[in-house]
Amino acid sequence: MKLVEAIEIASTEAPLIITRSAPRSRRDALQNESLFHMPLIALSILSLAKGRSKPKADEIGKLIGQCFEHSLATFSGSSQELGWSANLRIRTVKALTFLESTNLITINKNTSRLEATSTGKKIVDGAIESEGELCVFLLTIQREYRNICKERAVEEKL
Amino acid sequence: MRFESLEIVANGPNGWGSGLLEFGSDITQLFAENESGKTPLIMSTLFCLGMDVKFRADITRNCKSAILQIAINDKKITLERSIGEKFDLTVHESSKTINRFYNDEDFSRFFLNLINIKTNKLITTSGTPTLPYFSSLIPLFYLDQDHGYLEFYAARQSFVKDQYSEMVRLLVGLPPFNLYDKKRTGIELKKEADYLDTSIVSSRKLLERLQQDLTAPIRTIDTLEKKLERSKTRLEELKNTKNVKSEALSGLDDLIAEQRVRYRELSNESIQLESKISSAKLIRDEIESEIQTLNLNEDARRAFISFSELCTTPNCGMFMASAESYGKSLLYLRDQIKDLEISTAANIQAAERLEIAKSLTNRHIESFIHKRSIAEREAGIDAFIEAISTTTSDIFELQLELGKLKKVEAQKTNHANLLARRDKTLSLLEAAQKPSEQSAEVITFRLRLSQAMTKWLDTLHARNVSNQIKIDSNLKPMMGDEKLEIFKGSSKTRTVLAFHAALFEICLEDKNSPFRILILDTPKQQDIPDIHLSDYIEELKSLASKNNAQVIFSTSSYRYQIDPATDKEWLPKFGNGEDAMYLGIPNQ
Repeated sequence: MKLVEAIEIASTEAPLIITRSAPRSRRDALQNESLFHMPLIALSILSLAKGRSKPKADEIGKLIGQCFEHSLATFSGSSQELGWSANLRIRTVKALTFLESTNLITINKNTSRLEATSTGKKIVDGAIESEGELCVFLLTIQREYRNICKERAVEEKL
Repeated sequence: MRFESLEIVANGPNGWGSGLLEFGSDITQLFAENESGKTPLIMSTLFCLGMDVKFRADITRNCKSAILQIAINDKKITLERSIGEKFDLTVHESSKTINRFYNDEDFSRFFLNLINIKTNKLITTSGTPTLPYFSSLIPLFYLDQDHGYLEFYAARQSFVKDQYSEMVRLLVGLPPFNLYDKKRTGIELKKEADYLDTSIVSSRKLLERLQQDLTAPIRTIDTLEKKLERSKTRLEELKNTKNVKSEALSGLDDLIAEQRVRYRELSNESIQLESKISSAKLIRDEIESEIQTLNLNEDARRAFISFSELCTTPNCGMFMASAESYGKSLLYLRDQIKDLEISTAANIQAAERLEIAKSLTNRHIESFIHKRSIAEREAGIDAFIEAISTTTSDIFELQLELGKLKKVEAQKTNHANLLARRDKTLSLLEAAQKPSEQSAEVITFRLRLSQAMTKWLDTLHARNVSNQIKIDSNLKPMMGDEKLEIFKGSSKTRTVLAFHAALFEICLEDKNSPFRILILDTPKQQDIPDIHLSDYIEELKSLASKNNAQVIFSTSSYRYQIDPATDKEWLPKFGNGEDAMYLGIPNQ
């Protein structure tokens, strides 16, 4: 191949190569770091696991996402789609690992559902007794979780 | 609920009347010397709402009845109650008598229903069931001249268990504290909650279906209405035109321009969707590499363990947490990829729909351009007919889209109402089943009340009252570690005033709350300097005018400068100077 030909081909193909490899400036979706701090996630998992219907271990990421989305006023109906958020799920796994290793939660091997241990329950009860914003948030999450479970049951019946 | 007017009717030709007194839309001020009859007027307002009032003998002798006119939403209601020993209250709506009551209980039930307040059976101090009375709510928005400034809730009768707490809860829409027959109420509420759960699922499904039916890009009702209006005008212009050809051409031009705008919108949306799809791919890749790192980590851990010189005990626990989390993390990451794939698949479908809409619009544009070029070449009439028929079909399509959009909006409101109803039912259910447990609504209210009280104490320049307000579980405020009973004089009056203003403010935050009135009978002016009272009233005024609420107060020394457009000042009309009175013989 002659040099002139090579340059010609290169110049026609260059824009294509450039556009393909150019870094995307928008990685907008699912980038909400500040929302996902471990202590809150851990406490939220505990408060779900404390209730009567225990959450399944392999759904917890999505559940926490949905609960957050419905409980924090500005996220309900927003396009953030926390329920699908990857970051949140990774953090949820980490939080769950922490809860398990500190023996605040056990996973029932037969049902693979999360169960708060008595120490775990005490932590949630303590947070709820504090009567602050956190308490309101946890109670809202519990109600949201109840709604999700009930609605799912209705959907299954249908 | 809004107060419109008050009138005291004279008993016979020589009796005393007040004439018709209209309430201001924001502020009503009764400004007069002491002993000119301010209190009887204020009391007769509440007398018409069922409050038990003992009038002085001369008033009972000379006045026949009190008539209060109120507005509830769009309804004009007149409440006429005879002044005398027996309870006799007649309710008129648009000058037709709709009911007459001979006891407080029946009236209460009727009136609470009228203002849309749902009540539940409570427990009396002797353990029997009772419904709350409207007159028991009155002390929360009316401050009596004598007792009103000494307590947060100065009720004339206290027969309900925890009456203060129950009334505050009823006022701000919280579930009751002591429900009667919790078991049965609980069963009924559970049934209702189940019913609402089912309705919400079907309502959401309906909403989703309706939303899928909408054509992309989704426009607002407003934009569509404007477009429709424009198309209609265009059709009118076409009908009335003389220059057939040029009108037809410009009509087609308009349509082409509109379709191009639509095409651009569609393109934008599809670009956004594509970026979403590609960022999902990116996240997926990230997760993949996280899985890879996880695997590497596990291998690394094994390498450490296999190196026996480092640690001779096989289960030393050095990397135990890591080992435990390994399997789990792997599971979740994989599970998450599955979820991402589902959401990406949905996005890809949406992108495909957009592509179809785009190509359809493109075809429209091409056909319009073609028609336009034919119209340009040929003598008008065919093109004209074409232009009219295209515009008509455009109108038809717009109307169809508008109809669909309106359906979606209606369904959205319907759905939101159902959600709100379920929320209310669930908090009632919680109150019935687990009365001792915390409720999110109650805590939110307590936090809000303490916040608002702090603000109002500041407005009232209360220097000696701690601004660390805590609302206890009976909803009674604690100022620092002190209860109201400890305070004396000015501090007490300021705290009570701050409490009522805070409660008033919270009621107003709910747009549907009927409690939009605050009545202060001669705030103890010896206790509070005029300038502080003035700050308080000014703040109340601005709150009232922003929230469609009314403040009524009487005063003998401090005088608020009224705004004639929104406020009313009631001055004594009978007699002169210091002897002027609010009640007197009419036409004299």
